[in-house]
Amino acid sequence: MLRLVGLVLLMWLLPGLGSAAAHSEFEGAEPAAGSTVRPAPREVAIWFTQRLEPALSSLTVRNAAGQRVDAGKAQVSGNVIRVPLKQIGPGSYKVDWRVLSVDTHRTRGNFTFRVAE
Amino acid sequence: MDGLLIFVRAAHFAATAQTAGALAFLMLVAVPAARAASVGMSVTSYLRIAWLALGLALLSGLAWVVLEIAAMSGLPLDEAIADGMVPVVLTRTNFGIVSCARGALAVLLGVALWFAHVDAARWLAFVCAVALLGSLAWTGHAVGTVGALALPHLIGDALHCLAAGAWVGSLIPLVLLLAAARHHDDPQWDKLAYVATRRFSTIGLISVATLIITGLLNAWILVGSLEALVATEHGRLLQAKLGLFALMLGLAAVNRLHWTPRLAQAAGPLGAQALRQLTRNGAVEAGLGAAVFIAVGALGTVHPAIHLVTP
Repeated sequence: MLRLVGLVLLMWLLPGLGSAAAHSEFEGAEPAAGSTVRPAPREVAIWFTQRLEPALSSLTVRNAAGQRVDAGKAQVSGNVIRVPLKQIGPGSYKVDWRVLSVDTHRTRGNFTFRVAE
Repeated sequence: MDGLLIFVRAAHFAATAQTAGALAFLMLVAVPAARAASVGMSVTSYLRIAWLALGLALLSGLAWVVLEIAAMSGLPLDEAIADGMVPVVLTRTNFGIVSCARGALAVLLGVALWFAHVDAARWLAFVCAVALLGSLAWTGHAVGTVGALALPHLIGDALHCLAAGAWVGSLIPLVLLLAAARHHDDPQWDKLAYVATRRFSTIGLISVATLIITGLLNAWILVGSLEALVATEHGRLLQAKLGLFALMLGLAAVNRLHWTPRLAQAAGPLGAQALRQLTRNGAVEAGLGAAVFIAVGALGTVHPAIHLVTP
């Protein structure tokens, strides 16, 4: 009977395996992903669906030339990570984030935003 | 999903539940039942189960921490160690700090078990085992919940762990007690088997009610919709767990409604058959419980379903 239960379970589970890996816990950002803003923001903040581990979460922002424009270490508070920015001008910026939620799930991702002339 | 991590988590959950279950059965079922039936019963076999389970809980807990150090840092283990990730994870992350506290609790439990011939030490061991099991909630999805639901989710998850331990962890000790009763072929032992089964049944009822209520709360917070239950890996694992739970519940109902009343007639052939069936069903329930722990081991390694479907 246990063997039969095991077989049924395996058939049930197999189609779903691997489906979660492509998803993240990203909930929203300020400036929003893909947005064009003006004036230039003073910080970038990202909200996640779960609380984050400050020691193993990071957030960097680079300009179109690949130079870092974030000013200092990212700060984590609950499910939000934010980093202050240097004075930035018009152009495109790429935000890279790598976070660990307190239930030990690691996720990473990136998005861009533009600062208008 | 990481097969080794799932196996280690499942082993740790099962061993922790077994430790608490063996002591719960001893303190709340076996000792009172032996007193009621005037049987001078040895507690050694129950303490031995608790020792074995605690040893497995310590080993699997250590392996879990090692695997998480690699997983949380995103590096192979040797690189994670070389990069100084061990103290970072152990002292600066929720999982590491909770794991250290649970390790200390396990050591205290071991000391209490060492002095288990003293009643007070046995109760201390029981309290430590309950805390060790309930604190698993602080290592899972519940600890990541934000907002007003954070505390109810944690408390619900802790109660869920405790209820699972009280029920599933008591099954092997129950099977041992029933097998001993069959072996003794003595009316006093038959009475002991009946009283113990009744007491276990009451604990089982409370556990099942707690599991259903806290399970619904968990599902509402972590799954949230039928679509998420069907379309996600987390949802499918939960379905598997629910299927196993339903089978266990069916067996428990047969035991309580059909076989336990017949155990009262233990002097006749019907009583002997009831004793045999209860022993066998208890063993099958324990096997199904082990499969539930594998599902639980896997559930914690995947993202909660509610975060994976678009509202």
